Amino acid sequence: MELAAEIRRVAEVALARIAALDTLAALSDCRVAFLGKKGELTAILRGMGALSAHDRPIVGQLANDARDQIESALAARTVVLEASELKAKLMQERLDVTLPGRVHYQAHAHPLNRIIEEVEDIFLGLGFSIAEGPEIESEYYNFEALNVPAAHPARDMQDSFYLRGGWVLRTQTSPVQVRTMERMSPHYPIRVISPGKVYRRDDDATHSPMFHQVEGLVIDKGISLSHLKSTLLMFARQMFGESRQIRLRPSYFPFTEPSAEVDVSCGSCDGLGCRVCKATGWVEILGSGLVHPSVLSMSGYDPEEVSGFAFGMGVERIAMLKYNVEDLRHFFVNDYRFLRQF
Amino acid sequence: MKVPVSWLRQFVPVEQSAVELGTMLTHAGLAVDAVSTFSLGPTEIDEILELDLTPNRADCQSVLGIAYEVAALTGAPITELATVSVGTIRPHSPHLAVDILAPSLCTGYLALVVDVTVRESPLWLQQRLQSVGLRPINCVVDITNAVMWELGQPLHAFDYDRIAKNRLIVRESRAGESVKLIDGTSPLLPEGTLVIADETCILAIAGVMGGSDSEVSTSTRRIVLESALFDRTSVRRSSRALGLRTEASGRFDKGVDPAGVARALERAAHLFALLDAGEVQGEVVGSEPDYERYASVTLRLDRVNELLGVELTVHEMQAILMRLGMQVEMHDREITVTVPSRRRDIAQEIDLIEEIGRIHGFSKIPTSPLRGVITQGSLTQSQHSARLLRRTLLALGLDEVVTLSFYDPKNGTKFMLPEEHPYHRMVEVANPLSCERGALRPSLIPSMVEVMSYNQARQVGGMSAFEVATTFLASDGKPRERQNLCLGAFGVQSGNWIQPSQEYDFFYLKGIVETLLPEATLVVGTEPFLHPGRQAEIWQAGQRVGVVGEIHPLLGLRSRTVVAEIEAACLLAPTLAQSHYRGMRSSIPVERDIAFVVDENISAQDILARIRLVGGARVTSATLFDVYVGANIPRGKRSLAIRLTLDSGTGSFTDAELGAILLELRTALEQVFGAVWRA
Repeated sequence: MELAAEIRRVAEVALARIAALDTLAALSDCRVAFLGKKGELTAILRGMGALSAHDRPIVGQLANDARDQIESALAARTVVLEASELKAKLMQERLDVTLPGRVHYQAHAHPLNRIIEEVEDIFLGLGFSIAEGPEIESEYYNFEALNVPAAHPARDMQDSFYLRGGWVLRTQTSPVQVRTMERMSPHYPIRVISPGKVYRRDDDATHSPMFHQVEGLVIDKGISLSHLKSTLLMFARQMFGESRQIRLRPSYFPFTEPSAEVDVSCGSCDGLGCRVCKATGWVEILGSGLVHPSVLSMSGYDPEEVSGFAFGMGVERIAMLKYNVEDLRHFFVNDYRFLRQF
Repeated sequence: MKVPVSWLRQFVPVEQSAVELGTMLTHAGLAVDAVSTFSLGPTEIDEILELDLTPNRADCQSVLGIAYEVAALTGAPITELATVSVGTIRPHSPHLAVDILAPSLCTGYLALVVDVTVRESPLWLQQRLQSVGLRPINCVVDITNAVMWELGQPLHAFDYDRIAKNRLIVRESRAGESVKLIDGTSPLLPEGTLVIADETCILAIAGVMGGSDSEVSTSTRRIVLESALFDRTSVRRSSRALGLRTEASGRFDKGVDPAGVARALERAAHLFALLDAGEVQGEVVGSEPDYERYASVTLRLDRVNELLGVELTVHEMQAILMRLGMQVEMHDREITVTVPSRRRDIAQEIDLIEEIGRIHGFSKIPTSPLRGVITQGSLTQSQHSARLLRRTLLALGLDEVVTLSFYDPKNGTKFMLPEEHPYHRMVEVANPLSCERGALRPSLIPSMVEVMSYNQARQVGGMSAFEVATTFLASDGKPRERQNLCLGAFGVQSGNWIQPSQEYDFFYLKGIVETLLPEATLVVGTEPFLHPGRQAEIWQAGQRVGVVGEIHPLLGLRSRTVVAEIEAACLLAPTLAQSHYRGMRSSIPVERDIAFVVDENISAQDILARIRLVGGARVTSATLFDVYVGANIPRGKRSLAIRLTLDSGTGSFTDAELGAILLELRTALEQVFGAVWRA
């Protein structure tokens, strides 16, 4: 059986060759060399016609086995080589991942508008809506409707900016509250805040001729100072932290009575006393009170039927406290080194 | 208002330390800002409360007023004030006559002639005045100041022998009159200033300051002591007009107790006797103010608890009111309260409720959450859009700035504005703080330019910013307010090894505008302060809604700076916040590039618009990806290359269909713009 020996020899040679090959291209050549139309094994099989009927199936079986052996060796080797070639390719594509990435500039919202939005969101969550109004007001809405009659010292030219034709730049956002009451009366409840720009004739390290306020107003049956206290406590805790306390000090504003200044326990020292709170443990954050009965009447409500509370805060002050900004003027200069810290 | 604790003790017992006293008063609404000390000698000091009073508490502008508050808070009794009776009041006497020619501005005027010995005050009185910041002068002036400080009623002493014909006249000044004052100035008085005069000249500005001619000096033998009630507004007007704020004017301005006018003279008489400084001659001349000695206010008990959110008993309320010096008369569920004239701030029920809350203590008021109808807290459509607009701009990499609303009227020159430019319709401020802030801005651009210029001067390599704010334009009635969006940028946003720097140039800003207003059309603009070749007007729905361009080099900025301003209304329209689903197309779009040469004056925008018009729904996008001028292109022409996305909407275009569309477009561009096809 010369042919059988030849088949065995070819198979051995092929298997040895396959094991030694290390590229897919060489592997492919190898397949052609042994199994192709002109391949070695094919050539042997072609000589099978000369075999006897007895030998033919035996040698045929032998040849088929050899082919299968070579095929599976080729397949196994292909898998190995594909894996290593992929690995090599990927290694070649390797990046220095420590190089910096493409630049994406994260822009910065102005700290005052961030605070306004934060205040808005706290009160939106409490069921308040947001009301806006003009920055130029009539004296009626800015003063009279807020219980500041013509002879009141607050009407002095020293404190407010006047325009031709008797208009005035609003000195607080309270005119929006009056407009809201006029629009809503006699319906209640009202729960509204009004953020915006306001103007006063002051200019120094702690006063800007233009600044921002958020004021709030609640009108309903049976509103008392304890509702005011509860609402402002919720606000102070969300704004400054869950452990904050508030305290109310009697004060005076023409459009509220009783009126109260509201202090929040100092966050820098936890109420122990420090530079921020001038060693008192408390920091003033807003003014508030029950809506004065005259203001209710002027806006179309019966003070015997409903009552309300109002409060107002300076956004700059809140921002200065929250971010520890030492000079009010930074907010309006817009130095990029300032803006990019928020 | 400074109040020495030792002086306070003359009127009310004080058990606490000065600091405790300060805290107690602060929590009752009389803010004590500080407690300072004043040295009375080597071993002795006095403590001084420094109060910051609210304008409604005119009654607290005196040591006695504060004493009443302390008494109300502690329950201690008030010590009776030592006075000397000065007898009955007569309209005139042989020594003195008083003519009140302006009775509406001077509702009470008492004058007392006193023979005096002018010398230094004793040390205790000098120290007392010094401790509250007053300068001791001589015993006569010192007594008037001491009485004012302790009772709140300003007094004035005239040298009797300097008054012509022993006659004082209270009148309004006439045009052109002036007076030589004790501070050495001789201001011209605005007509109608309330003055004290004799028949020859003006002796004092009522309630503000005395004149030097009748000033008490060491040679003074006899004085007229004035205690009067001048109109608040009149005193405030004089004091403001002349720039003279004195202790006296401040008290009149806030309002003094009419009941104190006579008592102040009696107290002064006591001090003259105590100091052996003078002797009263004859009766008091003049007339006492006519006033309501008491106000009567009804208080409903339920109302107190309802509004304060407390549960006080009638006895607790009664006790508080009585400690405040009020008389109470009980009825069923109501109290009639009689309020003394010094508390002129109390006229209505709510004022009494505040008093009860204040003395009871705001700290004792419990908290209780809002109850009642649930209200929906939500943003309006435009508020929502405004937030979305700001977020979009931040996401696009623009920092937010906030600038002042003021405008320099001289900007017209700086911005090279012709006479008829709309910025000249600025709203002027009647009483500005400075010329540079003399008006309200008609545009946000000047403010943005200022921000850019400020940062350029600080070596910032590049910046891109936005602001949404109100602009103001004068109009026939109320000035018009309009919300605008302003954009500004200069320099570059630095890149790195892999990313080229982002140039903040005209097309950067135009790209932002196009992102915000995809439907807008831009046409060449004519703003005088912008580069004439690098600016465009922004048009939307047939309206000019804004401008974008590079700042004119003549404005002198360090770097090329681009700005844009757009009316916010067109950005806050609901479309920005709402999405409309148009369904999915099953077809696969194909891309084709076209390139052609056209005259360089033909607007790319017009060409793209024409492509969209001709292509209709079949052309889903047309992107100009190359503009080429140079070799192989005739002078005055440019080559444009456009990538088209074509979509049949239903299936796929056949090659024949695609060819037909491209031919259609080509024909249109050749005919309309004279385009010469390249590919």
